[in-house]
Amino acid sequence: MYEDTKTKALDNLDIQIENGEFVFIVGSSGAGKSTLLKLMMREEVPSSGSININGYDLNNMKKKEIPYFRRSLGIVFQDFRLIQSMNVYDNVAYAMRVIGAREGAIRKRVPYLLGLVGLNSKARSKPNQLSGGEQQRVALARALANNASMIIADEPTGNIDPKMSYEIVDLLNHINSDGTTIIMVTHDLHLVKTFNHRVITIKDGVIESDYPDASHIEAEPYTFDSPEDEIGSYFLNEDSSDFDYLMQTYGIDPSKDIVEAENVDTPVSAEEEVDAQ
Amino acid sequence: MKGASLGYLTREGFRNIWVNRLLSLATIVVLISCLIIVGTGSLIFLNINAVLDLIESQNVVMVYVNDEADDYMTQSLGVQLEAHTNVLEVEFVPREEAFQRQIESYGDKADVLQGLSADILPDAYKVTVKDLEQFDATVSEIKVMENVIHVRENSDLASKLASIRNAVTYISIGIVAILFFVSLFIVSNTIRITIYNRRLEISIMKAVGATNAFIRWPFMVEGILLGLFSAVLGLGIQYGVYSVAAIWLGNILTELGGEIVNFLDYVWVIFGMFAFIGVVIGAFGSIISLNKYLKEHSNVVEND
Repeated sequence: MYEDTKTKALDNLDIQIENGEFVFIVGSSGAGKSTLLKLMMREEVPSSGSININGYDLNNMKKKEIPYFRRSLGIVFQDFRLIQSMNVYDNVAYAMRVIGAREGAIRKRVPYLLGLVGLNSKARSKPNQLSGGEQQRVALARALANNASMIIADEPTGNIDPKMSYEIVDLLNHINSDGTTIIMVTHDLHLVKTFNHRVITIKDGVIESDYPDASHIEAEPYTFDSPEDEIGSYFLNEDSSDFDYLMQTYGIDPSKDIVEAENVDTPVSAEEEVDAQ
Repeated sequence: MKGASLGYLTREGFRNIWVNRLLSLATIVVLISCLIIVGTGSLIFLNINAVLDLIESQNVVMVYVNDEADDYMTQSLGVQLEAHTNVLEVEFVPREEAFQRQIESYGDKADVLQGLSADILPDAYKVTVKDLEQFDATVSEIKVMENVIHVRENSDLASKLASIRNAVTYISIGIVAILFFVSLFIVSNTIRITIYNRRLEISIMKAVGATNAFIRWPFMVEGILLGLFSAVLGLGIQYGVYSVAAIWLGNILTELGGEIVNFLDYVWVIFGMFAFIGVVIGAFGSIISLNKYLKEHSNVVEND
């Protein structure tokens, strides 16, 4: 409840999300989706009830603990939020630098992440030289930079066309298959139908429905070809000479360092529970 | 904070100045303006002080020696006067020299002194007092010295000069302090615009889990660097402005028998003051603005 206006943004919410789940949160504008994300990111504290995420008790968390909690999350925004004055590599590296990561670790991790989202050939490009979908992939690589065990995506496909949207969610699907929990807020029911994961619908601040799949959604699924050949191909295909070349420009031996980087990405086992009123 | 991170964040501070060069330039211009106002105030204070020094040095005490004192006694009095802690300078004026000055001062009417000799006048000491606040006490102590028959002084002028110096000092300190806070206010608002311009970076930093110290550090480095740049540039501009002002101000002071304070004599003091004010205002301006911003715009997520 917002004290200043006495408005109940969310009411009687009881959600439990298991580690490694992929959950769509849908609802119209003003339903309370962003408030839920704010609560999950510890921007707001619920007026009653409790929230536990990744082993953190968000209600009783000290202010100085908030940054450390947020490092266990990867956040993706609708408007990408890339720094225009930095190139793709630096935008991803920025997330690691501002938490004090060593340059050596950054030089290993960033090319790996760019390979994962299929953008290693664009490492030196500025965000304004990329399409909307590519920019969102950079944002996704940034969200993964600090080994987040949970990705919170706030309408990540809101500013991109359906084909690109499909590619982004397909990429999130890839990431989820490695065990990373994905919570995605979206308006696009076609996407929800296509990827067929758990769907929580919020209406007027309350949970209207919570289904384990999208079978109840009345929307046509997208019928694009799997973009697997494009996105993630560098990650999946270690023989890619382009990727090897790029890695070498960062002083990395792909045959050795990729294995280390993959190990770094192993998500931490944790149970995510959101129980807010 | 780790050394490597500190290095990165410091480099970020440098980079941000270049990336946001227009707003950095605006901050430097504002800071330089403030520094020059403070510097001009200080230089005016230094010149007023120099004028007061000049006037004070002319406010001498005449100590007349008893006719019955022999040379040894007269010299002893001179030594006693020089030994006094509040005496800056002692000059012996023999009666013959004093009589000669009298004749010169009478000019055409010197005839009235015809038939008189130097013996009508006593020997004297011209004493310059250091601290005019202690003027009356010093005169009282001189009066009781052996072989002093009379002391001629102008305690009224001395007390007025002491009051003027005090007033100038307090007013100058007050003006500099007010200007300091005005500068801090203006600069923190200018920096606030640069912070607002970079709200995206701040929101990303918060989203990925940067601590407040990490968020503040590049801004603080930036503020300190802008303060130092402004101090160096401000010093150059101040020198130019003062050199121009010295041309006509110097004439006025020459009329009074003094001379304008040489800028180069105080260049390090002024640079130290500029650097201190620039760095403090730059750093605090950044911190104040950033703290305010972080309180008002703590959101990582946009509203519905």
